[in-house]
Amino acid sequence: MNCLLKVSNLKAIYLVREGTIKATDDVSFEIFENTAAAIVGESASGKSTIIEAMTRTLPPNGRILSGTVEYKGKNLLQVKEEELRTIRWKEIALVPQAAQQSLNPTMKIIDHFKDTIEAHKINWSYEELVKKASEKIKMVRLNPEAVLFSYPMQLSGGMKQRVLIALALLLDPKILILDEPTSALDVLTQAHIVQLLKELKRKLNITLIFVTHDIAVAAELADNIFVIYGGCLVECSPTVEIFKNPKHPYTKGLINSIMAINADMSKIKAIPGDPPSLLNPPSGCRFHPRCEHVMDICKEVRPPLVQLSDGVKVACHLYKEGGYRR
Amino acid sequence: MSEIAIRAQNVSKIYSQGLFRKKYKLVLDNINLEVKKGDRLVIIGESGMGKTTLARILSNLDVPSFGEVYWFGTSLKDVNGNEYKHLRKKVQYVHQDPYASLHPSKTIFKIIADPLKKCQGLTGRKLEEKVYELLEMVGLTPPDYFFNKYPHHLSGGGRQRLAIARALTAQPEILIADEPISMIDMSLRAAIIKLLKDLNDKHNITVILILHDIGAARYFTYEKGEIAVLYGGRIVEKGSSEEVITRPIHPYTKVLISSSPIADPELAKNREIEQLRSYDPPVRLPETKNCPFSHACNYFVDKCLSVTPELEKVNTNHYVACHVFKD
Repeated sequence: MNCLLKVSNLKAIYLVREGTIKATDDVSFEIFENTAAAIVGESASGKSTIIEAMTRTLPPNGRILSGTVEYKGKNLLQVKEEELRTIRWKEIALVPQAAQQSLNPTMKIIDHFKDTIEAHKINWSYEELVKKASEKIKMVRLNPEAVLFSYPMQLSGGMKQRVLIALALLLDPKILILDEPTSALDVLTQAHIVQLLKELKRKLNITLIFVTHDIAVAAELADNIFVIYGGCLVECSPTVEIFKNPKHPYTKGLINSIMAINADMSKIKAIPGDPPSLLNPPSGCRFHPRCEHVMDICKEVRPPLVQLSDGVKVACHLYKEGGYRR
Repeated sequence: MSEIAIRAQNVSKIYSQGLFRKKYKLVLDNINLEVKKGDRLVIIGESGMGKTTLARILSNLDVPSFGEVYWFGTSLKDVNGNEYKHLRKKVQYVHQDPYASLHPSKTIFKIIADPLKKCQGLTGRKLEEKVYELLEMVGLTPPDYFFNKYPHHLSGGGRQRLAIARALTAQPEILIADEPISMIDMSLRAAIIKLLKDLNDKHNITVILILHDIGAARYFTYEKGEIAVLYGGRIVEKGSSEEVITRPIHPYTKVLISSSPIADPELAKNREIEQLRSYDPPVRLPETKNCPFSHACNYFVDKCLSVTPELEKVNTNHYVACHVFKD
C-alpha cells in the first residue's frame, strides 16, 4: 500500500491562563491510500488537536511546537500559506466538528458552494456550479432541488452534516478529514451517515481520516484505528486486531466498556479513575494512574511506540519490539 | 404483587407555540406506564420524541395537559400540601448535564450537606458522617479528599456521581434520571450505569432512566426491569429487555436496534441498514389520529394513517402498538 500522508513527532499545545495544555505530544502515524483511519479518544484527549494541527487550522491560542506532516514530498507545516491554499480543499478537505453550527445561517446552501469556488479562484459559471453542487448533493443522498436553495435553519442536523460532506467533496479531494462526523446526531441519523461514508469511500476511492469518541463507529468504518490517550498515541492497529486482540491496557479497557447491543452484558466493565488533565499530565506513561498492570518504570519513563508485528504498534512498557515482555 | 411506585394514566402533553400561542403541538399522547417498587425502567427514544417531557411529568417538574400521575397510589392532582411535601422527597430527579446542574462556587461538601440539613435536619458530626457515607456510596472515594474540592475539579463522570449523591440526600424511593450518560466520556459511561444498578439492587430504589443508547438500556435492564420505546410521544413497544431487544416487533424498534453501533468490525462492516422514508421526528397535532411512525415506516397500510394503534399484548410481558406487525 501507498503511504499518502505521514505525520511524525507532532507536538502541539494551547496557551491558557493557567499554563500550557499539552494537547498533542509526540504523535506519529501514517495514512495509506484508499483506507479509512479513525482517531479514537475521549473528550479532551487531544484528538481534534491532531487534525487541526495537521491542517493548520488550530485556534489562535494553539501552537505547533515540532513535527512534520509529509504529503507528496512536502511538509505541510512548513509550506507557505499560498501554496497550502492550493492543497486545501482540492486535495485535502476538512469537515469541521459541530457541523450544526458550521454553516452561515444567513446564506443559502448554494452560496456556501459559491464561496468555496471563489476562495479557490475557480471560474465556473453559475449553471456549472449548480450542476456540480447538485451532483455532490445527490451523492450524499439528498434532494438537490430542495436543499440547494434553502437556508441552514430549514435543514435537520443530519442534513446539515451531509451538506457539509457534499461541500467538502466539491473539488474532488483525495483526502477527506472529518472531525466527529456522528456526534450530536440521533442513533438512526448516525447509522445513516456512517453508511454514507462507507459508500463514498467505495465509490470515489478517497482516503478518509476521522476523529471519533465512539469506538463502535470506528469499528464499522475504519480500516486502521489510532487510539489516543492524554495527548499521546497509545496504540495503532488494524481495526480487526484492535477488537480481537487489543494490546494496550487502555484499549482493552475501552473495548470492555462499550455497551454495544450485541456485547456480553456480564463482561462490561468501566475503566476505573478519571481521564488525566493535560495541564499537568501524569509523569511517565499518562495512563499509569488508571492502569492495573502499573510497574515502577511506568511512573518515570514514557513508553516509546514499538512495532509488535506488521501494522501493530503500541506504546506500553509491557511490550517490546516484536512481542510480549512479561 | 408488589406495590406500584409510580403510575402514569392517560398522560398527554400539548405545547402551544407561535406568536399568539395558537399553534398546538402534541408532545405526549396518551401514555400509560406503571413501575413497581424496586423495579427498573428505561425509556428509549431519539431527540424530539418527548422523552424529557415524560421524565419531567413523571417527576412533577411539569404538569400533564390531560391525565394523571400517581406516586405510591396518590394522585398528584388532589394531593394536599403537607402530604406533597412528604412525597416530594421520595421522588428525585437527576439532570442531564452535570456541567450545568452543580453550583460552581459551592464545595462538594456543601453541595451534599445543604440539602441534608434541609431534608433530614442533620448537623455537626452526624452531618459529616452522612456526607461521607453518600460520597462513598456513589464511588467518590476517599470521600474526605473531596470535601473541600469544587465541581470543576471533577471529570464529567465524577460530576454525575456527585449529582446522583445530591439526589440521594432526600432518601428517595424513586430516582428519575434524564440521559445521565450523554455528556460523559465513553470509558466512564458503563460505570455510571453500574452505579445506578447498584443503587437499585442494594438500596431498593426504583430507577427510571431516559436514554437514547439502546446498548446502555440493555446493560441496565438485562437482569431485571423493562424497556419502553417512545416514538412521536407514544409508547410503541414495551416489555422486558430480552423480549424487546432480541424479539423486536415494531418496525421502529427494529430499525433502532439494527442501527445501534456494534462492537464487532466484521459484522459491522457488512451490515446493511434499512432505509427509512424520513428521518425527521413526526409533527403531531392534538387532533391527529395516526400511527406516529407512519410517515417514515416502510410497511404502512391505509389504517396506519387514520387510526392510532394502541398497545396490545403479544407475549408475556411484551406489548406493541402496530397495526401491521401485532400478530
